[in-house]
Amino acid sequence: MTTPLTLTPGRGPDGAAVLKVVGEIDMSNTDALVTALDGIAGKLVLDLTACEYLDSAGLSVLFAHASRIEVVTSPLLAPVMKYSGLADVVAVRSVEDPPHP
Amino acid sequence: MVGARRSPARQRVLEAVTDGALRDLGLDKLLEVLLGRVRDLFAVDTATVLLTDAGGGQLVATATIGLEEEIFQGVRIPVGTGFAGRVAQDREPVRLDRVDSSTVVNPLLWERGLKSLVGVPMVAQGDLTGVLHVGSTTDRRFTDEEVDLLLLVADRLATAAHAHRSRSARAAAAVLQESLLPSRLPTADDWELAARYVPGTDSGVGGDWYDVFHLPGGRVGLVIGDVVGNGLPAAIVMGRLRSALRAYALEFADPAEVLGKLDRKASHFEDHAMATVAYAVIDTATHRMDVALAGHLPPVLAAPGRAPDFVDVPVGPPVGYDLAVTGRRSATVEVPPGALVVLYTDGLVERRDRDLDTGLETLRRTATPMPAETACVRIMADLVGDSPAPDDVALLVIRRVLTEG
Repeated sequence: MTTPLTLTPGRGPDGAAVLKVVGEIDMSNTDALVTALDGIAGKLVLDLTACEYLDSAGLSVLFAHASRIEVVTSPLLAPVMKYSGLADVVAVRSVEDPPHP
Repeated sequence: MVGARRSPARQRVLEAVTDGALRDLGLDKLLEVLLGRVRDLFAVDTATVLLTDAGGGQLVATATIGLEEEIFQGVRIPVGTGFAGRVAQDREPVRLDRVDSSTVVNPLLWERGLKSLVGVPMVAQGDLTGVLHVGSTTDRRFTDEEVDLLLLVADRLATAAHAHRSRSARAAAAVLQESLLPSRLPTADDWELAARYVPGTDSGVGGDWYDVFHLPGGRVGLVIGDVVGNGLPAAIVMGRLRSALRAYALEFADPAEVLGKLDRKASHFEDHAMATVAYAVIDTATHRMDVALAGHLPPVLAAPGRAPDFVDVPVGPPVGYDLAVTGRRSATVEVPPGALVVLYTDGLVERRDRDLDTGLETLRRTATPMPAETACVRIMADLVGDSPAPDDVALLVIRRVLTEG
């Protein structure tokens, strides 16, 4: 059984590469996240504001790309970022309401 | 070939593979019986099964009739190379009517005098489990119907091999996990220990572990960790990290330094494996505890006369990606008489339908000073209760006994 997840690559207002994550990330679908990240070269913003769940398998993908990602998250996932130590090695921004493009 | 679907040959093959008696056989015996039937039904000289290895990159000769040397010599064929390797790569049948060094990589096949070969892929639940091939020492062109029928046999073999592999992996992971968790916790004067490990309902046995050991100078090491992933691969990595941590614990006093070494070891030797670890060292003479965290949730310290709280330790990145470029730090806390220290994995506090802070808060409120075994019972009751945890749960509790006077 695969957990619902949509991954949409795009560009932010400043032209930076963005990967927008909608749904939940767990062991059943981290391969899709890996493929999506591999498809984007260089620095990128990982937009997790519409991501409702992120397990340790998902976190391990984020750590693997720590050198080139910046994370935007909702308050829901902010504790996960803090306790996992991700916030120490990656720029993590927590936003109350996701900005509407 | 309108009549092919009901041909007598098809009927005989169907009977041979659906025979109910096969269900009771182990994989080795099943392969032997079915290969014997294949030899008779298809009137061939050799019938061989090669199964994929654990990594999926190679085919290993596993059972045969007529090519016993393959098994004795441990023949391995890289997927993509030669005859069987091509069948595996393309997952399509391959027919050969010339068998020599230009068509096959394994000399045993032409040394055996085979003149024609047909190989079919064994696929179960979308996974390639191996290749079945048959050979003839006469010039013979295998027909489309024969290839179709051989695929029927391959399906039956693939299902058996797949089921066998999942069963073995689950059993091996459970045995490995059990052998690595301390069966009896070490004892120390004035300190009580208790622990729990429960496999997840979704994940089965996973990569969670805990460990307790004596260190020189009256110190006790406490470890709790979680390797990302589940099943046998996670249990194997867990076993290696556990013993590496013990080795570093003997060499280095500072938990942050131990986790730093462990990170370096894991980053170098474990490909894409990540683990979170909490490592604490209690000095039983000074009653001080040094703690370091690698991406792991902080321990709870519950001392009499004050509210239980999480130990304030800077959390470093998990081990496995060598990301602690600015170094790791540990914190030191006093463990007063009667105080309880609780180490745990995320499976205890994290649920899909409850945010992490809520789980942590429930734990903080439950973990009050009480005997270690009672604390385990209470914590499991409050946080797991009657709804089984999807992810595995490990819990380790140590209490400094409240002495008279």
